[in-house]
Amino acid sequence: MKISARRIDQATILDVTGNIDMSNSPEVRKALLLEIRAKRAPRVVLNLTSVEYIDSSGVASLIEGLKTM
Amino acid sequence: MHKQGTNSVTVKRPVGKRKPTKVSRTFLLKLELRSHPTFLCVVRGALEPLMESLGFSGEENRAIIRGVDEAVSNIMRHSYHGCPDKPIDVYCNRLERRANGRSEQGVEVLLFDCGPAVDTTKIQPRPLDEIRPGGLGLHIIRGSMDAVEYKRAGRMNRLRLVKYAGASKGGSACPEENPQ
Repeated sequence: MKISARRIDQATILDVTGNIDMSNSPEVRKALLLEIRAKRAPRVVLNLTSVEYIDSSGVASLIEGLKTM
Repeated sequence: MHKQGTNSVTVKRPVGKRKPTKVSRTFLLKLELRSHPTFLCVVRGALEPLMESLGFSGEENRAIIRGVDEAVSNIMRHSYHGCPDKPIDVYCNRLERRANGRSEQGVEVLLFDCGPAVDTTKIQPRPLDEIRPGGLGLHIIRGSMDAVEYKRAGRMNRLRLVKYAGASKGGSACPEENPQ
């Protein structure tokens, strides 16, 4: 699983590739929360188009990010 | 790490001092794992071609993988509290049942761990209208499989997950179920 960040206009986009499960969802959570808290852009977009699998721990990371915003 | 076979009757577990477990099934697949989360992808990778070979549709295949992956994750997190070197055994067995006058093919996945007994009265899925992280695993397991059964077997926890090809999702009864 890889995460990379890019900036487009008023949004930071986090591109995620690979599968998200309990082994790496803490990385997703960390990257997402760091970006949200840094407030570098008014919008943070998580691009999951290259993610084939996400488990409940990954979904929990997304919800945590949502609740943090 | 895994093998396919047809004549497993008694399974001797090499891990620790556990007693051999008598298993009167003919298994399709056996996996002996440690409880490290990196092995989750091994389980998914082993199940996908197996379920495809058993005739499950893509959607059913994904449901089985989702359910088993969440169940193994729950063992790692809740039964072993994140300890990464505890044993988890996964067995897959072909099932067949008669339903509505026709034969349905299925699979059962048995998960064994050596964690403490589970108090099933304390394991209840949380309401989904609460938008908060955590507590989704049980919903996913139950929603993905046709039957989910927990049993304490000696010093081990046994979770049995069943899925039938072409069956309506969510039912817990498995009438006239027979291993092949």
